[in-house]
Amino acid sequence: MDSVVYWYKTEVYFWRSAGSLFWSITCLPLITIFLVILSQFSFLHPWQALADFASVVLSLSFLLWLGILTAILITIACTATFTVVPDVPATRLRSYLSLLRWSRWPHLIAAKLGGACVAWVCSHFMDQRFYSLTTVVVTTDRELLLLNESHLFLVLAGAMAGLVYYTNFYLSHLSYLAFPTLQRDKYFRARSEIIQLAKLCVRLTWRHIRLFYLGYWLLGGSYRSWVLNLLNVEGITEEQPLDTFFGLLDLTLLCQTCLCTFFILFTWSLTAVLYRVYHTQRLEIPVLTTFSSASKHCLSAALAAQTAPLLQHLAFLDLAYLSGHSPQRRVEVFSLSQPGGHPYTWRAVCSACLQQLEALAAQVQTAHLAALATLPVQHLPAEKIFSTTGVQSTPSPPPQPVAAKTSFTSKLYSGLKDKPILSYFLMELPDTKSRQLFAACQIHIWAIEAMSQLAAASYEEDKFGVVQQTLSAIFTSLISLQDTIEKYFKLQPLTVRRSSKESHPQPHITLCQQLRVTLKTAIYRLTNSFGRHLGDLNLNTDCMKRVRPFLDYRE
Amino acid sequence: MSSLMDMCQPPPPADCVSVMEKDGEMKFVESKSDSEFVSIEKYPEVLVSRDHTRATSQRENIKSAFIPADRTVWQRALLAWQEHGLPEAFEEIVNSKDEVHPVAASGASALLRLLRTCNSLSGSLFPHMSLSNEELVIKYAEVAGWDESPVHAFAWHPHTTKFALALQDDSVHVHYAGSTLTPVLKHKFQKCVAHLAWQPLSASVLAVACQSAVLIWHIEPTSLAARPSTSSVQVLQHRGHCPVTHLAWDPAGKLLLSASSTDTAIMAWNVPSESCTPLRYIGGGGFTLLAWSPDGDRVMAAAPSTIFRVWETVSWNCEVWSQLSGRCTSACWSHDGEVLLFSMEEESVLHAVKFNTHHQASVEAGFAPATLPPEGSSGASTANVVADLSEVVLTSQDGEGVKVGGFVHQMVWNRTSERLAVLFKGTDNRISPYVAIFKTTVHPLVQVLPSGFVKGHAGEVPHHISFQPSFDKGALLTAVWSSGRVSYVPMYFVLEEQIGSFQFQSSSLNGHGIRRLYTDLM
Repeated sequence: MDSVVYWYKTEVYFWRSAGSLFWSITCLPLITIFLVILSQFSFLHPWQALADFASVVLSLSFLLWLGILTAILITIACTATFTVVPDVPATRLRSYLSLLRWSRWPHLIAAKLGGACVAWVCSHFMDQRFYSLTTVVVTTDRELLLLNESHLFLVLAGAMAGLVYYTNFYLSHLSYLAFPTLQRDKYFRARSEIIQLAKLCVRLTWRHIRLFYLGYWLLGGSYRSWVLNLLNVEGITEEQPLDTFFGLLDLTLLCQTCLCTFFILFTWSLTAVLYRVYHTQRLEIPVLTTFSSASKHCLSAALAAQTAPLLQHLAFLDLAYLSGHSPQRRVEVFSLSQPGGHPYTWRAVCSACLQQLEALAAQVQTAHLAALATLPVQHLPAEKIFSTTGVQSTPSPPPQPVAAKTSFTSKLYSGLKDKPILSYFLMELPDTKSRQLFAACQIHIWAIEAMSQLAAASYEEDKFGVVQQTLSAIFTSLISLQDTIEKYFKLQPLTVRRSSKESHPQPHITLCQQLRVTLKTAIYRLTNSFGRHLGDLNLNTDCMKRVRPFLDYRE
Repeated sequence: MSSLMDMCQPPPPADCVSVMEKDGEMKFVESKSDSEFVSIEKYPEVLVSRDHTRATSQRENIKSAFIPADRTVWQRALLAWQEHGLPEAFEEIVNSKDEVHPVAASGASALLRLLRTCNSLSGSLFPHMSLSNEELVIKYAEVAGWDESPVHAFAWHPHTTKFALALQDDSVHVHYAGSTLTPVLKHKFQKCVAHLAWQPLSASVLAVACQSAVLIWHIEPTSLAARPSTSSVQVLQHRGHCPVTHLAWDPAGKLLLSASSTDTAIMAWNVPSESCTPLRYIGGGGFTLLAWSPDGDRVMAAAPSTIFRVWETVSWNCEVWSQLSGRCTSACWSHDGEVLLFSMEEESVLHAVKFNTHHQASVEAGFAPATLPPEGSSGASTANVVADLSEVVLTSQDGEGVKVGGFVHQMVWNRTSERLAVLFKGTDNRISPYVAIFKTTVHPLVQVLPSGFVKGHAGEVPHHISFQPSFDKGALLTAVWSSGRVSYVPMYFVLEEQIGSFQFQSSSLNGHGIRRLYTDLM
């Protein structure tokens, strides 16, 4: 099993990561040049702006700045962590606390420092007045070392933009590798993602700038005096300090801050998006091991590779794909071993899928039982039942619910929950339990699809009858999973649908819906192909009873 | 090439109505005895009453109901801008130029002229862009004569005897076999219904193409509710994707494609997650028609201009078929996904393209010379003319001369590609009362042989035709007539797949003939 993971790590993962990083590094100079054009542009002096632009871009130092930007980009890309299973926090507080997880600290620090560095680099592409932190002013009697507050402002805005990138990366699920609905070519996917990303970054920039201006207006003064103390500088160059209302009404400063923030957010998020585009691309894993290749990687090993979740996802994706679209590879799945004539491949594939489905069914069953246990059970008072004997018993007070011994923390928690502002953070988000339960069910969706499509295809293509031995197991497994899931959702119905306002539907929210639809479709596919032969399958009566509505198209 | 219609049997007399095909011939009965003759049992009898046709005032401009209020010209312009857009706002200013400063008036009129020039420029490239939503639906809907037809859309369920009808009052009625309950679906977004599509491999999911959205109804088959609640609806909306004129489900039931005649992108919807992936190609000006091949490997999408595209559904690359003589009006795939049959506007010829089912388009020569070289990636491939259906005058069985044939408005192929039904529009742009039926073979060559006509009562005109996909004794054609009647014309014949199969042979030999599974043999 290790061999397939090793093969994946060295030959697929590495090259895909390298490819995505290569393209983001290639895009960086273009975006930087675009940034320089915009930051140098002036309506009143277009020729002067053009000359300034040329002098910046053609200088040797520009290469140096580009090198620094690239180094920062690579650091950010290397410290970022991605997952294939979405993170579903129960409350808003938890989702904010998850930002401070230890494993994410390197990324946080890199983003914060990187943001400041990028802003410092950007200041060199801009107007003269942003160049340096301090300037020396010669007055009549002595030399004065003054602080350039615009520069300070810009660097601080950059660091904050790094923070915005970091929170956005985890909270709006850039770190989640969602597999696309259509497996189009990388170019088309990147193209449509980039347009969406640009829009998102503009929105984020706008929100960030508003908050940052407000923050600086309130706290900028103390921050400045701290820096003044730290550097032992005597004053500031601006006549108007920046933490005042009129100080902040500086249009050039606003433009440059916006540009710089957008630049940080866009270039770094682009890296994450490209990473996702590359790694969610379908990977064709050979169904059978060949004698010629030295490594013994094959699909069945990849399906069982639990140590590499991304590889496992790709294997299930490939299985679902071949079950629907590739007759040649299906033949390999249905083939017998030589010599011996055992259907090893089919057995491995089938058991990998059925195991996944059984595990899910068990999980859902456990959750269902847990939910059943918490249901309030109404105890009828005993008198009421026997009150027809003629003796009018006094209506007894309803039985007092047994005061559960709640611990201090849970009491405190429930107390805080009712407070207006805190409830926003502590209130449980809708459908959290179901979402957490079904967070990892992308694999199960593919497994269900693959099983049903392979079984349906076996009707025509399976020459040796290898599939039909397991047909009743597949039927039983799908039917019982469907039954369990529907029972679970009867107790815990999904409360919210996507509101029409939300332009960016989060794919992970609807995974459980997808699972239910896929499951139903899969059972229909099986009953469609094997409807006439159900009597031959030796299904037990319970399963047969559940299949009946599917045969009549009444489910 | 002379018209194939010349070889047809004489059309039935005017007072007869088609009931079935038996022994290879179309059978008719007299209109009077029609009510006694039940061509097929247990199918819902549907006659759309005139109650469901909408009041004409319903779609009139709401403005006419109100008395104009005194507002300044700027307020009026602002309102016009909010309600209708920029050109109307300028028009408002220009219309009342006495009330505004002459400079503003001349500025507004100059801008209006500029906007109109731009509009007419895009309008001259894509004339349909200047049409209103309803005009677009009338032009591109599958139903012939959408504005006059009592039924706006019709769809059979792919697996059971159940169908949905969209009526003129924008409600959708679902009819089941052997049940008098007909759920009526209404929703505030359900306006200008142009197309309906049932999800394959599902019992209850119906997609409705509306003016501003695609609605996904979940109609529980076991529920007894006559008006399913709107909580069972998913609304799929995307900006700029309206009016939705055509829908197509993936045969595996996973994806839903929707096309709008003004949007250059086809939307691929993942219905449970209500998210969409646009498949955008500039050029063509929109999409009017979608046809997913039964094997699921290709999708054909026709544009309102003279091109269509064929997507393969693995990595979603497309090839372009251009230099058509007109807009593609109708298209259908053979049962194995190998042959695409299509027709063009203002042309009475059927064309066929043969694809290799292993993801490469290939061509089989043998018909008329190549006319349509594709620009796509799959090498030289051409469409062949398979039938000329131009209008001819035939003498009917009662001795009258009737016009048959013409421009193809709609054509449908049955599930096994053995019968093809074609609904014509004459050269005078009126719907022909005769639906032509052809016997077809796909292998080794595409052959189209005339079989007969399907006709309604005297004065009835067909608006929509379709084959029931789940009928297994041959083919069952359903036609919606201008009187609001839905008629079934069963065609009984032995399907080719049964002739070759074990089942047919064994049942004819020793009486028990269901193919058995391996498990049973062991």
